[in-house]
Amino acid sequence: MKLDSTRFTRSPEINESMTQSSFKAVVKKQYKRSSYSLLGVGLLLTFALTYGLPLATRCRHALSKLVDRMEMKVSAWHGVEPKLLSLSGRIIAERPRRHSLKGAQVEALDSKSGWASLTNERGDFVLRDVTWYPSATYSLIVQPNPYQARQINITGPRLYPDGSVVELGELNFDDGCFVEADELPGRNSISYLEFDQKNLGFYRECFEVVTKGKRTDEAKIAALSCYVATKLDLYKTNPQGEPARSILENGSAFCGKLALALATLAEAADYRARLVDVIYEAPQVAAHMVTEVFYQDSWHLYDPTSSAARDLSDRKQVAGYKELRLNPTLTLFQLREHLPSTDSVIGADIYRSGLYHCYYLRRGR
Amino acid sequence: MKRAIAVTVGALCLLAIAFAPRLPWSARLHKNISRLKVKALAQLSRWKGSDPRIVTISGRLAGYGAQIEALRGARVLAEESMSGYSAMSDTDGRFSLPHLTWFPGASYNLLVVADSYHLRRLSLVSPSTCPSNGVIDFGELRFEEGTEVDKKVMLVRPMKYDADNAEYYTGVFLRLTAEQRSDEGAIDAICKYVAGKLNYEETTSEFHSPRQILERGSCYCSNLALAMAAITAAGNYPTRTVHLSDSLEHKYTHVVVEVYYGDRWHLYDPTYGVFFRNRSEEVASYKDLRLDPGLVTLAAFSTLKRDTAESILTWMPKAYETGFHQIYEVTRN
Repeated sequence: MKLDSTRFTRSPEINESMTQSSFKAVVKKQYKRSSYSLLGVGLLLTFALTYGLPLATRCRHALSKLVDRMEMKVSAWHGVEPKLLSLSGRIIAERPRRHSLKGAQVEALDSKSGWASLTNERGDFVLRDVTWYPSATYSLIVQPNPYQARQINITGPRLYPDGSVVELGELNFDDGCFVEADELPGRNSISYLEFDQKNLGFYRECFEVVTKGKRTDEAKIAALSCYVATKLDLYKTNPQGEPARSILENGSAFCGKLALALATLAEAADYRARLVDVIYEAPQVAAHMVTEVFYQDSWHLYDPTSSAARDLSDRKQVAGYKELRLNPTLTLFQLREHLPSTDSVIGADIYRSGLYHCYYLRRGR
Repeated sequence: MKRAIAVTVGALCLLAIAFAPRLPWSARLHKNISRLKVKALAQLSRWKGSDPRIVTISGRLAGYGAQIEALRGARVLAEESMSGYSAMSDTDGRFSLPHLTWFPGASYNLLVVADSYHLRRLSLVSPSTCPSNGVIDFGELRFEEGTEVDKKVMLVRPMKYDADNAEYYTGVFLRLTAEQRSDEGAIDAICKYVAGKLNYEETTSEFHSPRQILERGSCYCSNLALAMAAITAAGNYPTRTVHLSDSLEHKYTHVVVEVYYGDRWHLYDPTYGVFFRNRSEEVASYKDLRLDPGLVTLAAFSTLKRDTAESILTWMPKAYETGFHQIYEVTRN
């Protein structure tokens, strides 16, 4: 049987119009697809970058970090390698009337060193070791209290300054933009250490024994601090990453280890505790670590290394780091007799620099 | 088919955006849904023949280590509260939370805020029968058995700052505090100035702005507190108003202002132009007064006539002692 091939053959006009219409359909489909994709990308970008949405700060931070890195690379290609310098300035507020912000936390986002600074009575601060390259920008987070925080953006000098310090002069707090300081990415002045959950039972037992008969938070933490202070052993060097339990069992020569032991004991009893690494010059730059414990709505500082004594504030309470920074004469240090003379600088002076780094203990509660 | 899928995906996206945690509107939405749920369940119970009742729930907060002292003066909030009143525990950790709805099987989500670092949710289920006195006592509640809650949960209500009159409030602040050298002096001067606006002739409760209150005066403590809050907020002090009640029946309600400086809250009463001292001789906070209503003394009212002061003392300590309160924080962002 012969098939009628003509039945299946289209005329050239039909063919052409078919090709045109299918071409149109393809174009329409592609157009539709790309507009959907564009819409999707637009929505994603809006969701990622709109202020107030959860991802926005993180995305913006990641983008700005990327730009900074690129700028540093470009600067290096031009023969100017990034260097470290210090930022120095004074925080003031103009409204409602001009005054200096004392005791405010200042830190540069993404600071390489991770040091933050507390302003003094006149609002002065120095931030050490921030990265410089020509016209680098710095985002300073200024927080005078838990309810107010602002971000002040500044641009660094084109040339590396003599003496490695950039004098920023007066920075007006009111000119900064509102930020939620607790949630800001890039706050390198806070680090986290893992709480030794494995030995929780041991720490709780230790807490119970040491604080037996003590009725107030202040008395309990003071007892813990005194107990940890007895673990100071100048001949005991501890391996890296040693848990607080072995510090309590074997002693330690390091302030950091003793501070960690005290913080761990306090955390085991559900106190919030943090290690404060205080930077001072004696005459070289050195650091000393102390513990702050939160109770009665404020932080209280204990130094289990060089003093078992409590430092009383004007409120007749154990002072916090901020109070000691603003008024170093509060410290009534009783240096332990067996401490080497070089350590005698560990007194009120160490709080004068205002430079610090905090370590919080992270635990799965 | 394609259209249905697109609609479903769109609806799911919308739902996710509406209910996902940590979004700006999540807390408020969650709270409103909780209240709606309670209303719906109460209605269902009514249909089943068991009439819902308004009850007070009470208990004693207990914990371990740091929690023991932190739970004295802890705030207790319930998402299901009809009035929005919260409770503050006493020196023994005891609290009474009013205005909750009972029906068989009702559940209550209590937010317990011991301090900035101790915040937990305790879930309680009501008994099948309602106690005749209208108080459900849950006995000892262990704080550590609660679940940890995101800090972003709504603990205080926002109160919008009257930005339109910002210049006016700043001007008043500058004028009143020009001679003051300390925060305490500055805030006390503002408090006394606002107390001077107590005007028993002006009984309007509806004002358009705190500025109007300052210009015309008011006989209501709530209005005077609002006016003081506007001035202290203009001075860049974190500020909140605290609404108190002396009983379930609200025989006496009162509104005061708390101002944050020197790393703590301080309570001022702009109706009478007074503040109270705590045991450390600082200006007391609401928490201080709740834990020790004895701090409200006759001496604080020395500027008032003795009989006026004595009549205030018949109810004011009780308003602090109950622990019933609501907090509104001025937001300027």
